Amino acid sequence: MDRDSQKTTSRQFKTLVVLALAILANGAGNLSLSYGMKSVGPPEAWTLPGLWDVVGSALSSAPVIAGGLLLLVFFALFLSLLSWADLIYVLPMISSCFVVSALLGHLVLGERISLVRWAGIALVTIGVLLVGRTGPSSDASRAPAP
Amino acid sequence: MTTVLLVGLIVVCFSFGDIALTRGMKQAGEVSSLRLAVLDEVGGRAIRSPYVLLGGALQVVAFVTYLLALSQRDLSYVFPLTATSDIVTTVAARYMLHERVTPMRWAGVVIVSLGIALISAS
Repeated sequence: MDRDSQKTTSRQFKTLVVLALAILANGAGNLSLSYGMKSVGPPEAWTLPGLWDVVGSALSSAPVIAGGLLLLVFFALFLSLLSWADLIYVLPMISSCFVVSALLGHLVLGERISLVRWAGIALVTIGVLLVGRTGPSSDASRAPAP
Repeated sequence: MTTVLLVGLIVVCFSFGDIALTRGMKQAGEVSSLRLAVLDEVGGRAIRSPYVLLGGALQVVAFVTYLLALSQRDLSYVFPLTATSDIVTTVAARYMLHERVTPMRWAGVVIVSLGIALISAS
């Protein structure tokens, strides 16, 4: 294996690891936010003081804060990916978040998934597998074959 | 009609926000490892990059517009329409970032967008 293809392989591995971390952080973050906000409850009135109360109790809820921090971690990992991978590779791959969030909501929070939604989950999965086969970076795919 | 205009604004801001973020991060340099020193160095350049700041600002505008659109129409109407932003982004990335859009990537992007639309429309 020459140096170029070695670099491509390790970059592909790095991309998949960071993608997996980003998707996990996003899924766990949304789960935590959803769980936390359910116990905070909806605003008593859709007025400024009513909304302010919700913001106040959300910010003192540990699951909401943890969820917010996890989404910040997600954004940092997303930006890291963009520092070497193509945007049109990262965007569809990151869409696995929808699948992970839907499945986590179903498995952990007991939310129901309709038939149409299962079909959507299947389509996203197929699309992600297609894009995943193309490799993360235009530069790497332009490199001469070994 | 106003909702359609709002969705158009959301799509444009999301797409060009992502394009700007990508250009900024490519300039900030590759995150070569997850060591703190590397993250600090690249992160420092990223938050000073005009492209990253522009991209972040566009994402905020997109999000606020999204909330406005949600105040008028249901999530299951608004969100599937915003899934079209990936298609706009693909065309923009082809011409503005010179990324390679192979048929396989096009197929993947379109199928994923359809899937997202289905997930959120139900």
